[in-house]
Amino acid sequence: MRVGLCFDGFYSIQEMIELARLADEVGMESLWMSDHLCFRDSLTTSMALLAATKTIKVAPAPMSPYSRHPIIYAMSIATMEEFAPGRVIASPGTGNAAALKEAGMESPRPLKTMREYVEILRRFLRGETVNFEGEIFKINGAKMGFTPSTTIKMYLTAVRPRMLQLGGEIGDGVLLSGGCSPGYIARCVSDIKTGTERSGRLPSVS
Amino acid sequence: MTAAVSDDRKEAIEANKMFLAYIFRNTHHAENIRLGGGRVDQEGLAVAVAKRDWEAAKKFISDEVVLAHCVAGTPAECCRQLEAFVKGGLNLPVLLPTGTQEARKKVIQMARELGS
Repeated sequence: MRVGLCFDGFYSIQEMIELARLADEVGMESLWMSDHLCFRDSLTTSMALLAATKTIKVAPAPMSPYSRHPIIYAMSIATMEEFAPGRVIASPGTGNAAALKEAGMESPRPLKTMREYVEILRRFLRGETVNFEGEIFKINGAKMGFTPSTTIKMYLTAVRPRMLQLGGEIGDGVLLSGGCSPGYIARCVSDIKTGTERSGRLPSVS
Repeated sequence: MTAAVSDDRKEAIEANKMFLAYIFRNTHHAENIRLGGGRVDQEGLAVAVAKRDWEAAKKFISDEVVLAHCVAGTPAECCRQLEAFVKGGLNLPVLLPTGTQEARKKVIQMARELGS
């Protein structure tokens, strides 16, 4: 059984790097660096994890559309991929609603927001000139000055049924929340499959 | 899922409580908690977490809730518990190591044994 490792950002970056090196040495599949507001930053830590390891994949997760504009996210994830080609996974997700609220960020219309966010991210990462007139985002001709050499997979982070379905529909995979009980995982997988039936694709569930 | 490996089962259970406290204050976990068979006072928990009073917050998470949502115990116990989560349909279990740094390293050692 292949297994990934997740960091919650509750302990120091030095400790996470030590564990990441060990995980890389024993052949673990991936590192998932949580983006918990008020704790260690996900993107900068993820870059440090890439620099400290050789083969393991790294996923900052979730990157929230409410705290990171899609062009900022695209720039970050593309820079990471340029540094470590083929070792970066993107994981957009709305994030922890309570933590966002504490920080003064509301999280309205999550389904529409996520659908637009993922579409814009993919277009930026493909190197397109993006003109997007959505209900949430408006992009006026921005184009990345560099593009990733590999296709970066997108694992949507999801908890609730309709977001899980959206993940199944538009994601390359779905990342479930930590702390899911086995019964809830089974229900989540069912919701994801409902979404995949809309798209005809088969996402992975982590 | 959070994972704590220790020969001391109680220590392993306690190690998982801070993370569960942090995420279970969110109302979107209510159905997950219900399906796990436990009960959590999410409103009281949210107040404690907002104050970053982790000792108070952890008191809202019972041992039974930990065992329903995490893996905790010896490596053999954790591997057995992990199977129940994977059977739900996970393609890739992702372990969040908790406890001391030495305990976290034991989670990685367990992952190596699972992969071999």
